[in-house]
Order: sequence, then structure tokens, then C-alpha cells
Amino acid sequence: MDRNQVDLIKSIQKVGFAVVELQLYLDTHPCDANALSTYNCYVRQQQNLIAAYERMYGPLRSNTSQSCYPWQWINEPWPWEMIY
Amino acid sequence: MVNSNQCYPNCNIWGRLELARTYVVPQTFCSTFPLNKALSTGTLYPELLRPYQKRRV
Amino acid sequence: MWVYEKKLEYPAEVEKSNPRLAREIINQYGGPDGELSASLRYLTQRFTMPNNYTKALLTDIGTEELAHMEIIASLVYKLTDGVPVDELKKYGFNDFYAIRDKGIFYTDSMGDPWTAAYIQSHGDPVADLTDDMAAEQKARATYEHLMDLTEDHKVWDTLVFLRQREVVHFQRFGEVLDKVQDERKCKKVF
Repeated sequence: MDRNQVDLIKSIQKVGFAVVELQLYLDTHPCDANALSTYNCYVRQQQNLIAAYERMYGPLRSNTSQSCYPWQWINEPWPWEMIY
Repeated sequence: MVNSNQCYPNCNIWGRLELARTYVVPQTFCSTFPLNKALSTGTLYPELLRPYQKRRV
Repeated sequence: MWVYEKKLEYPAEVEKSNPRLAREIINQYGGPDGELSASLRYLTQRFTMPNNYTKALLTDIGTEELAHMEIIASLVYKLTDGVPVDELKKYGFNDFYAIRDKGIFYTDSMGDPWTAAYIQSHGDPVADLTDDMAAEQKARATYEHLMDLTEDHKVWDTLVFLRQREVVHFQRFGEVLDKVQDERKCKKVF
């Protein structure tokens, strides 16, 4: 794993966590427009980061992105083997 | 009295409290931590942060 | 249906291997108030919930708990990875080793296997959500015990994250319980 790959994973973890937190908040406050627009903003950021990661390092989510040949999903790193 | 803390809920839930019921004060979306701090503390919301100090005895 | 993301929710790191700590931390994998219990409890209780707030919340927290299970397993993996057998023996990992080598399994810190008897589902939303709030507090307390036992700063950081998640989940369960109780009250006025 090169430095750039680690940094991208860390950025995805940061934005992804904000998305998780806002999702739980919105489950109990679905009419909070302010929280909803913050959520949408972070989801957009997350999509861009994941797309950037997958272009360079292969699929991060199973079954939502195409793979070049040969099948990329089996490649390292697995989450529990990652060194940050 | 003016509610000086905007992060605290404005709705007066204390007016309808009943016996034999569990309550948590509903959160109001206000300020959020920067993303770095949110991930390192485990919450996006400063008002929900409850840090723990190691027990020595 | 679930979609897997090939990354951890939080970057679980360890300073150095430590079989003793692995043995303690595995409690949050397959112990009574561990992440497996949490996830399976919420994901099975959601089917009989009366409103959409609660169905959504149990689905989402149940899913997040699966990610926490993966974080705990990663810690246990990293704490034992590369440790020779004599070191495992020295740090009391020998009774685990005898059965499963370094295989990750759902047990508590005493070695007792996970059982469905740890969790409940009563079909009564007030009973179930109150159970969920208690479960979050028990998990918080367990994380504090683990933090008391930890000298590894990086493991500490991960435990800080997981412990705070219990506090946030407690808040969310309290918020939906309030809605459920209000709805119930409206229905019971004759």
C-alpha cells in the first residue's frame, strides 16, 4: 500500500463516519433540513473520494463498481491487514 | 428565560413528563466537530461527547 | 441485502502484539454485550417495530455494529499476528491456542462461546428499546473495563471510538423510544 492509498482510505473513513453519524441523527429527526443538507454534502464528498480510490486501487464496495481484467475484488489489502 | 445554549432543545419536553417512562432529552442539530476530531472521538456532535478517564484503583 | 465495504469504519491499529490483551478484547467480539450480540439483537428486533423511525434506526445501528465487530476482530488479529507459541503460552493464550490456534472465534474473555441467550426480542417495542438502551450502557461499561486494562495507546484510541459510539447509540434509542411511547399513548386513549 503506498502513502496515497493510505491517505485516501483515511479520508474515506473520516467522511464516511460523518455520514454514519448524520444518518443516525436523521433517522430520529427526518425533518431537520439543516442536518439533511449537511448529510447530502458529505455523501457527495464520499462518492467523489470512493470514485477516486476505485480508479486507482480497484473496487472498495462489492457489486457497485465495475472491475478491469482480471477480477480486482480479490486483491489486497483486506481491512484487517491494513497498516496505516 | 432565553435559552442561551442553542444546541439544547427548545421544545419544552419537561411540561409533559410522566411517571413510569424512560426519557432522553432529544438532540438538536447544531455545531459539529471537524471530521478529524469526529473520527478520533467517536462522535460528530460536541454535545454528545462523554470522555472516559482510566481508573487506577 | 447488505453491501460490503473493503475498509474498516475506524483504523484499528496496535502498537505491538499482546496476546493477553487479545484475550481480553475478544470479549467485545463474542461476549454477552459484545458487538455480535448488539448487531444480531437490533437486526432481529426491527421486524416487529411499529414505526419507520425505529425500523430505520435498528437497521442502521445493527449494520454499524457489524462494522464494530470487524474492528474488534482486526484488533485481536493484529495483537496475535506473528506471535510465537511460547509467547502465547507466557501470556495465557494457550487454552485458546489448544482449540483454534489463532482463529478468531465468538467467545467471551473466559472462553465461553457466544449464545443467542445473550440477546432478546419480545415483540414489544418499549421492552425491546429499553433493552437496547441497557445493552448500550453495558457495552460502554465493558469498554471502560478494557480501557482500564490497556497500556497500548493505539488500542486505547480504538476503544475510545467504540465506547463513544455506545453513548451516541443510547441517545438515538432514547429518542425513538420517546416517539414509540407517545404513539402508544395516543392509541390507548379511549
